[in-house]
Amino acid sequence: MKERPEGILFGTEITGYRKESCEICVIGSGPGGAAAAEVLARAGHDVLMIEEGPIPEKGARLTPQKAMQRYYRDSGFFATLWPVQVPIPTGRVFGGTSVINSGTCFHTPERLFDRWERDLGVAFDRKAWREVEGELDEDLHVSPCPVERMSPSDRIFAEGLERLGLSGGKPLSRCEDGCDGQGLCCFVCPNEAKQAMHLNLLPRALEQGMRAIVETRALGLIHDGARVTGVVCQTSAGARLVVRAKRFILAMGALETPDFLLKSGFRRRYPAIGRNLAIHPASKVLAEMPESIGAWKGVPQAYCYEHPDYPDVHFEGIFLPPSLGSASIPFLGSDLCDWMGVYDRLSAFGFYVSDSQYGRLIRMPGMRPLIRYTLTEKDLDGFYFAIKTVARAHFAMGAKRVLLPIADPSDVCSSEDELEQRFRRENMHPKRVYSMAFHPLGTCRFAGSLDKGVVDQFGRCHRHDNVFICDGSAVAGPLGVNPQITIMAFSRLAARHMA
Amino acid sequence: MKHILLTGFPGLLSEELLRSSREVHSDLFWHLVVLPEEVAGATARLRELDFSVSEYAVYPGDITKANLGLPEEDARRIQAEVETCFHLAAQTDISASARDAHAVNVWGTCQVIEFVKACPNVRRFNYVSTCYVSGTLEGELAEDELPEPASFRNEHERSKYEAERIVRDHMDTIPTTIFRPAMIVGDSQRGVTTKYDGPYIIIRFFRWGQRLFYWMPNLGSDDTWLNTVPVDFAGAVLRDVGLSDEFVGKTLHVADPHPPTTAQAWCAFYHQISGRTCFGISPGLRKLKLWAMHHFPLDLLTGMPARSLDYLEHRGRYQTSNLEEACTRFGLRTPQWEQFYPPVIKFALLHRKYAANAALIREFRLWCMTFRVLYALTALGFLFFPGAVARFLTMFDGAGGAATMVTDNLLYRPLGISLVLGLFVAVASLERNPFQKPLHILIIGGKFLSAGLYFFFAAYCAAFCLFLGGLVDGFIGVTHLLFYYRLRRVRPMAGGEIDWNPFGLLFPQRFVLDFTETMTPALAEPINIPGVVSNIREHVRQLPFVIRYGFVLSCYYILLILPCFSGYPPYFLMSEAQRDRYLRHAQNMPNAWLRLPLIFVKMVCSLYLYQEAPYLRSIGAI
Repeated sequence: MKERPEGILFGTEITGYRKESCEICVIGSGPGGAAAAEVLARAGHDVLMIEEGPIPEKGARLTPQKAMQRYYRDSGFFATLWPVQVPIPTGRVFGGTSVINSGTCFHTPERLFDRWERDLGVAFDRKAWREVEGELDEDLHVSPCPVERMSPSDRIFAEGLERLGLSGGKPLSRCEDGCDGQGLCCFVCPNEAKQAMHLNLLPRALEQGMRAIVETRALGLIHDGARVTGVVCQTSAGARLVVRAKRFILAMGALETPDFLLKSGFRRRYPAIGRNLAIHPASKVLAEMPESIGAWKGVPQAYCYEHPDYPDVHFEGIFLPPSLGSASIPFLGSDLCDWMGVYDRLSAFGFYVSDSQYGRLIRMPGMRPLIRYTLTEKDLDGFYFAIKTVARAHFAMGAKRVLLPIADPSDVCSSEDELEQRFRRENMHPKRVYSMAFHPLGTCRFAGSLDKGVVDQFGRCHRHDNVFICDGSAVAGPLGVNPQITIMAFSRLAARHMA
Repeated sequence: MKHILLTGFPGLLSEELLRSSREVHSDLFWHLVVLPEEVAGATARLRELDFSVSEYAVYPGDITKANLGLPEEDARRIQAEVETCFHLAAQTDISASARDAHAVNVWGTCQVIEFVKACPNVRRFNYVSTCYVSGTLEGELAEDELPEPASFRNEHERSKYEAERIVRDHMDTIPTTIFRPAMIVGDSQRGVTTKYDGPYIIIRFFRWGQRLFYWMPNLGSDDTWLNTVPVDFAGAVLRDVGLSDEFVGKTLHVADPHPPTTAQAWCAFYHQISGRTCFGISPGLRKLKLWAMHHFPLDLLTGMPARSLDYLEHRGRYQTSNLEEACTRFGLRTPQWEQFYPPVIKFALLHRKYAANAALIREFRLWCMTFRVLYALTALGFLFFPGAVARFLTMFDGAGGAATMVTDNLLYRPLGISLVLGLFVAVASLERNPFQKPLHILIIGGKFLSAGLYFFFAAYCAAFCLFLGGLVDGFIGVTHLLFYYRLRRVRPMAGGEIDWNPFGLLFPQRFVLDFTETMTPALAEPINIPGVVSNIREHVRQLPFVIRYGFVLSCYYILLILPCFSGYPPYFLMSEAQRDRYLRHAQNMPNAWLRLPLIFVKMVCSLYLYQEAPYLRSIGAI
């Protein structure tokens, strides 16, 4: 992306009080907002996009920590609050979480359409949806990751699965163009190979005449109860910006959109705001291999596997660069040194489970959104199975010891027998499992009625004709796969309906 | 040089006698016969009174023994030199047993008489008796006679009567003057005293009684008299008459010629202590109350011996013609009770408790200092070597470990209990009715909270560590509670001079007046006491201290709880599995949000540590 693309205003340069007007105001530039904006701009509408984060720097070779500080929301420290603490990293950058995700792309599983139809009374045009998914595959250059570019840890796990006699693993499809396997997907792709929104849809929309204001935070909607007429924003230079528009598209992500609506005073009108939060709780198992592999080289998230008996458990590769790895190893002192000293020999594989219940997002004035979330016994069953499978696969590959993501004496096992003996299901406790979560969804989900959701199947709020929600918060989770394509397809369909 | 033998030193009257004699006469030499165990105190006291060694000689002795218990040569020398003798030593405790009272008062007096008889140069024997040798006799009592009363109120009176009888029998062989002081109270100007009996018992009764009863019945009557005399007047009479050559063979009532009736005295005491007046009751009701108080174990509740109530029924009046003659002769003014009551009462309100608790408070201060040093070391250690100190603490001090368990599981329950206990402490520590003014509630709140915290930590230290082996904490906790129990009696004072704070031993107790200095009559300047300090003013005065202590306390408790944030719980209490879990996992323990600062620090530190080039090179990342 260019340093100063045409049509972009910088919040750092806007001072004083400023008014803007447009036909459609899109708040948020993540996959949902970008997909919608692109369609609407192409259709000739006057689109103004507002983004809180900065434009990612090109070729800066940021350290992972710097990337987290600059482009992650709350520097990556946002987490559920109670009773268990699960960090949920999301992006706060022009291009949204797509800039800092791993770039995996999945089509929406067929079973979800059935579920949405059955539970929420929302029937999508599946044919149109699949067509849009095809278009998106082309736009984003979605292709399976070649084996030679995979991270060594993914290859080790794939081979380990074969040795265990489990089949069904496959390379992940990723949206990339010119990837050389630097292994820094999550910290802004250094050579702009990963097709994040700021490299793909957003420039196209800007070419079509879309305007964008970055580094500007939307504070709240201006409305008279029935109709929304504007949005108040604050630029990073401290100026007030009021945007008047005919229609508004909220695409701030599943954690910010409900907070924004609650802040704007929509609590009474939409009882479902903030409920039904699905986050795929995830974790990983580290293993020390006999020889040095340098697992941070290569695409870390390039291989996936699902066991037929456990459809809710999804295995996907993950590996962190050394410095971040130190933060993810839960030890102190000599234990930490011990593991960090052999970081080049470590291999890891991750997994996530489809949540069996929903969390809830609560807004307290003056605070970041508070999230209540816990892991159920069913989730823990999935975790247990996944941890054991990954550990066994690594032992099959000759791992010397594995580090299990639990706060328990049995967290380090040095052989498969020891694993069987010491690692028991009763060691698993929601508070003693280290987990993260990656795909927040459903806090303003689509539904046929107001008590189940906030928007209809075209993203329109049930009680406000001119407010649309086109992001992860509209998509009812859990999906069981990476939701980027699903969110984009939903947005694109909604935008086409709008246009 | 005039050589004088004095018994009964140290004592209130004898000290006053020494002090005042020195002001008038410069050529006196005092031979003091002092009980062996009191010699050190007596010497110190003399030094305080500014006596030089050329003015006195202290002999360890005992008046109940032959030759006053003195070695032969000492006795011979004294007998050769002595010209005047003051016999003040006596058992003055009205609750003393007959055996004790007679041993000192009767037998001791006999020994002194025998000793004086052997003095060739003796020109004067001054015997201090008491007005109350009159026992239960009523009406005007003459000075120069000793009628035998029908009965005595206690053994003290009986023994003094018998002693005086013996003295009178020897009057023809020894030139004797008998002094019969009434109840001796403090200095008429400043009220300074070291002895708290007689009317002081009533003052003590009012001190708690005025909190209990808003309206106090007047238990005095109009036909009984409370005869008190300030010690400086008694001392002056003793000095002037005793050192002169006049009044030989006479008896002087060293008493108030115009004493208040007990009703007047009762009213005066009560008014000055509480600011209120008491109401009169019918004589029948009064008798009933006195009888009830007499037969009720009042002294347990009030510290007011039932025997002392007897003197409210004392119907005797004392003629003071000899005394008045002496006053005219030596230019003394008889004291007016209206004038010397206020300073006497003020001094009593301020100092009574200090006398009783001086040693205890001194001990307590020492403990305070010790523990403060310990805690300061701990706190400093936490600042510089948190890990090491926490490990050390958890090894043999239960605090760190118990704190972890408490914060993880038990924090709220003990805190709740402690708040309830704190309520009792707070209310108990109040001087008066708590809810008179809104500000009280604020201040009570502060006390309440701090008392709660104090109790919480004291109790948990005591409870956890006694059976868990944390000896230090157990010791500290028990000491806390013990001292609290022992010192709780120090607290309720109308003037509120001891600032008992409920934070226990962590912080210095504040003593406004230094009792060791103000206790002595050698006090340089008069004590400036602004009447009875009102309760609210006292509380307001304490407020900055409450706030300051609260701040320091919270800092300390944060330091104390640090071990549970730092992931260094009590290893010795844990199973191996638990220990492993605690030792290795700082991050994802239950209530991890309590340790969020630690987790944050750990993550950030490790992030920066492991992005350094040497490390990355070592694992081949660059």
